[in-house]
Amino acid sequence: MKKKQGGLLEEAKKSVLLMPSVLLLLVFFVVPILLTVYYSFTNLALSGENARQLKFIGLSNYFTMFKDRTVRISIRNTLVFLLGSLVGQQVLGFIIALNMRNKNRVFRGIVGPIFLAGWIMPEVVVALCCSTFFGDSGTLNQIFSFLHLPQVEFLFAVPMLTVILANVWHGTAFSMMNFQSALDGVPVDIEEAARVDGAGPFQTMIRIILPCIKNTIATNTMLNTLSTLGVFGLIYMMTGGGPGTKTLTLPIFMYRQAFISQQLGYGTAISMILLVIGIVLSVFYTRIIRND
Amino acid sequence: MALALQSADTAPDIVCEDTFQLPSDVAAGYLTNLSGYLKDYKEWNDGTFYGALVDGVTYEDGSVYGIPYSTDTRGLWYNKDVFTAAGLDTNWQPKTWQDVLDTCKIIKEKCPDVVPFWCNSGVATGEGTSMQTYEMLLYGTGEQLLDNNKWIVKSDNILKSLNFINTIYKDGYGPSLSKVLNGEAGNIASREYLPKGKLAISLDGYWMTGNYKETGAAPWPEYKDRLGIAAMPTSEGQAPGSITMSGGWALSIPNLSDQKDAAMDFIKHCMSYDVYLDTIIAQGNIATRTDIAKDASYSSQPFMETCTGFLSGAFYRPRNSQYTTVTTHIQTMVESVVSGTSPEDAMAQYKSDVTNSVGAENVTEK
Repeated sequence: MKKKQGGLLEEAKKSVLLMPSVLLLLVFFVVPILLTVYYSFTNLALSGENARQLKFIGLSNYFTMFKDRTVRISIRNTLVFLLGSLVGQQVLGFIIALNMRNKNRVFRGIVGPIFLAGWIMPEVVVALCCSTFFGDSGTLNQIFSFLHLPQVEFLFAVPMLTVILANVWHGTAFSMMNFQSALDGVPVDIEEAARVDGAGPFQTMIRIILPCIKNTIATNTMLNTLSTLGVFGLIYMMTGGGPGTKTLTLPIFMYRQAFISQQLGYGTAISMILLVIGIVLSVFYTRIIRND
Repeated sequence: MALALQSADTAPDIVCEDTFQLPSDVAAGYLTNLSGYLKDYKEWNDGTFYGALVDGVTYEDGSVYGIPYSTDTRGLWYNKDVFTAAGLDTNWQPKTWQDVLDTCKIIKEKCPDVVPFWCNSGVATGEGTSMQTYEMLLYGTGEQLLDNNKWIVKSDNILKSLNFINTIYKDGYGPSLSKVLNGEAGNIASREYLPKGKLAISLDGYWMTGNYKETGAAPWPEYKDRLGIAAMPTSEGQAPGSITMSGGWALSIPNLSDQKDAAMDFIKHCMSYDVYLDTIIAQGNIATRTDIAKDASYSSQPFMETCTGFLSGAFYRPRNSQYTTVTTHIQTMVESVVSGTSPEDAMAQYKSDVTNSVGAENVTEK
């Protein structure tokens, strides 16, 4: 009996101690999310008649969205940006991690931070660095002219490739670190055993190393997916979603609709697409991990 | 700004409204109906202010929501030195769009280092792209944005306007995209390219000359003689022969201001003859008071007479609360064409965007 009372007291204590964080989560996280969902069913606007009379308009925003060419374009752009960034960041991150494996500490200590520099920089700084690097009279074009190659207006001729490269530069270090720690965990004796059995480096890679770090690949892909879906500042600063609609991704389109065209309700409805894409892909990746 | 106007804690007592934003903000209930305050405002009632500008700040309900303090007209500014170098007449007045393109062609051939033509073309230059470029062209075809209060989303004249822009960039008459699709594009053209002879023709507003005054951002003492202004021709030279859009800014009082009387007194002070005369000359804008227009110190400014003259046939943007949304779609459409999308596709995009924003019942095709 005495023991049970103590347990109750313990439970109460836990609850009280948890309360602040639960409250904070509710106020600053759950409520805004629910409000956003609610607003996506309204005609909320910053100006015009709709700003005076907030109305519940049901699925109207969503029907509009299905007919909206720009929504389709921005979904396509978002997926291209996502795929390009994922492949670039992970392949590059993996290669770097692999090459740094079993190298001496000094080498790793010097090379690691150089790659990390791109990652620790705020998005704004990355955007500025990359804009000047890819700009008309930027570093890359200077190199081109030194090599007598034609000048390219990267931000206008190949805008999507340019923002993907910028995002890859920004995000590669994160994948590199994940893969580094995963590769360190691959038991050396299995590899040695494989080599003794006559497996070449390629076979070792496909049959031994990759299966060993499968889970890391999946987790890393999921984290990168979620962070890439939300990229706004980088693209907005480099191209503003342009030229035209060539780099218009969902976050940029959402911002334009909500704050430039002043249609907040429609903007929040577009943000729901992002949420859905994020959820679908996360579920997909967690399934892969669980099937293991 | 819209957010500041929504709360009594943050609403200012006076707000400068671009007149295109006015109907939308009135519809949202952000602004004070000034009609009551104007009953004893002598200059307002005796016709001192230009009638067309008074119309511009009068909402559908017949009430006034702002006092216009500046207006503007647009035209083709050209550098006479470049024209001389290209062997062109420095007293230039194109009759049709084709004349403009022909002139660009000659400049490109004779002065390959000079950018022949510059107009705001991107999303970053915002309203400047809609008004100084697209609407100057569209209204020059004889068509307007609205027909019977419905937005025209597909027409031959939209295509014609976009094709002009397309030709400018396709034939290499325009500046590099990195310069023009930039938020600073207007300043690069007027402060750097045009005065330095790196640009021949710029489609821009009268305020641009404010840069060249002693107090301006890029003083150019000889601008009076080195710069020329030509009216923007209509597409085929059809009547009225030339075209300008006119806009302007107004002083309004937010609905949530707690000092409305004092705010109105301050606006009247700002708009009183002597104070306003100094202001408008320093701004480099066109005055909204007819009596100022006759003041020698104002009217003797270079190009003032020509640009004020454009006012008589000027067109104004639609007084429609949906314009603030439609204008952003215009900017995307123009930028798409400039960056290589075909005019047909850009117009299809515009149709889809506008239809979604204003509703299928508010659009039409021609």
